[in-house]
Amino acid sequence: MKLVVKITLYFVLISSIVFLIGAVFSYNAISREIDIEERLFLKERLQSVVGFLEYRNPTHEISRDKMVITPLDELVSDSEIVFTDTLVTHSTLNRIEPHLKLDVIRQVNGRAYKIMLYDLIIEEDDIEDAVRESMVKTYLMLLLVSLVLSLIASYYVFRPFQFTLAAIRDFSIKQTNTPKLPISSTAEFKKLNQFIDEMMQKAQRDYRSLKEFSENASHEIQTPISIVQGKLELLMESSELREDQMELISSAQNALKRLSKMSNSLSLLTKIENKEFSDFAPVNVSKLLSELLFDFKELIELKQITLTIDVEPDVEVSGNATLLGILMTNLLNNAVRHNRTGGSLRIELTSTGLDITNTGEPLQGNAQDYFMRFKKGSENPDSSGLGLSIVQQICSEHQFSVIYQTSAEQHHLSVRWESRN
Amino acid sequence: MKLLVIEDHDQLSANIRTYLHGEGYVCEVAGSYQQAVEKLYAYQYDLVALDLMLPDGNGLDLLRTIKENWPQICVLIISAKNALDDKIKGLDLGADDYLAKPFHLAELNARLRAIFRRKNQQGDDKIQFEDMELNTQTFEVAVGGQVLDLTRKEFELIQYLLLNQNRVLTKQSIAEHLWGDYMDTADSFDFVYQHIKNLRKKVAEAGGTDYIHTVYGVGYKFKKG
Repeated sequence: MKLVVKITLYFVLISSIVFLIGAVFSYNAISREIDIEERLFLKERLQSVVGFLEYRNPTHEISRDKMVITPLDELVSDSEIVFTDTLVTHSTLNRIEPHLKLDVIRQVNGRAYKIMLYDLIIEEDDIEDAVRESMVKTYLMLLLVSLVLSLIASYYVFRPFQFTLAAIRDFSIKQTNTPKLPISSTAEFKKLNQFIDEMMQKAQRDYRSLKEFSENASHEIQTPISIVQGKLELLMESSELREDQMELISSAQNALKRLSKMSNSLSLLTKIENKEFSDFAPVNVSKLLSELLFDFKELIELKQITLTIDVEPDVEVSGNATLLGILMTNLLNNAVRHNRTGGSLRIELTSTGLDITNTGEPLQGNAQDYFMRFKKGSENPDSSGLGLSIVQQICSEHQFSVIYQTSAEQHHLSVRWESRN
Repeated sequence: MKLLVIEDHDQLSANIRTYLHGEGYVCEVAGSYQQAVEKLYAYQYDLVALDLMLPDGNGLDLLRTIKENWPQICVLIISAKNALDDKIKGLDLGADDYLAKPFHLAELNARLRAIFRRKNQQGDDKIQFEDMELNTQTFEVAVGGQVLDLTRKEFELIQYLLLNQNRVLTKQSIAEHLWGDYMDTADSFDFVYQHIKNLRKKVAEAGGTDYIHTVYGVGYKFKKG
């Protein structure tokens, strides 16, 4: 629910309660005022009655509409004016209506009179009706006004907020510039924009430094490796070395190479995670695969692997050319490396996906686990255990699905260009 | 051949200098951007090995300067920034080759030779070793005048051995030279062995001398006698 709608609803709800209470107040006030006015009116009439008595000095009871004057036999002193509510038959309406009654005894020209004056009371439900009607009308007007107000609010007052939302939605941590937030005259929005601006800048700063760190770490590690590598090569030049000593140097170099490769792979994983390869374009994977296969051809022949290729021409996949190249290289590499001499390799590329089936040692444990970092077959100390992690990372980056299945000596890796979920 | 190594890690440039010493190089070292510019203006060089990350400047800027002022200099980028971006940018700016750290010094030597030869076509696209002659233009190897029937990889192998003659080349170094990073160590041993075997056979069939010596458990050495 929109904020404006919510606020309007609350406002309408609370104002209805206020209106109810207000109705009670106005009802009370109106009836009080009417009461006072009626009493004043009866008192005025009393004045004119007294004037009439002074002039006429009646000796008999006078009974007229809304007035009864009874001369008293005894001389009774003046009494206080007493108002009472009573029911009297209304002369014209011919039905019993509530009336206000004035009772008093007055001495006029040496005679006491009992005077009773009546006046029709405005009925309670009449006042109630009037109050209700006016309240409902006012309330409807208020509803209309708040509706208009909420529309104005959502269009004008909340406009900077909408801009801020749009800026947040379009915000990318990879951008070097933070999006410009609108300047608002509303204090809350000003504060919000300030917070968001600071947050975005901090996020980008942190992202940059993290990126720099991972790149620098990879870079810094390559240089010492390079130095050691060179020193070992120079050491190998020494003429006095025995062959077993050279072997030690050689295996040290191999380990160094693994360290370097591992660092590169980790750096690549970080880069993919950091979405540094997000420039996607249609890539002709058929062509890419053929080029890669050319590189692998010799390795495949040297290992006497029977190669079956079934590549649909000009299959295009939307993705990053570099990553797709790495994806296929890693898969081919695994299929050749973990193959046995004289084994088989089948590569199938269609517009729906890539299937690589090869022979190899049976896996230990669940095949899907091999996508985890550093998970590898124990008989392969030379592999980094990162190849399939990179494959999976690339697949998730492209929203491909990847499945690894094995049955006895057959390994089957399937990449679907369109994710099934 | 005059080579300028622009590299801020002393140990690394010392390695390069020591390795290339006696290979016909005159090797000088610049440890910073500033120093490199000074040397480039003061002396003449045929080759530059350039690290992209320098303490006081960007190697790519330096590459631009070199290509503007001394276009005849061959530039080999050596960088730990194995980022594809840098590689493409460097080659676009006119670098002749790109070598990622860590590298084998033998590989560096072979690459420097190759780009130097490519750039300076003064009829010496032939490498002579005793009765063996390599033609880097036609990728042919002749033994005693008889041309061998070699595959491209076999040619690359013999060229790599010849360029680093009298040195021990590990199987790892040879495998990386031939196949790049595709190969893992376990396989490379067999593959390199197979290639060497074929090569020896072909040389022997042509009546040539086998200059490839096996260093047991390590690799091979190309030398006379």
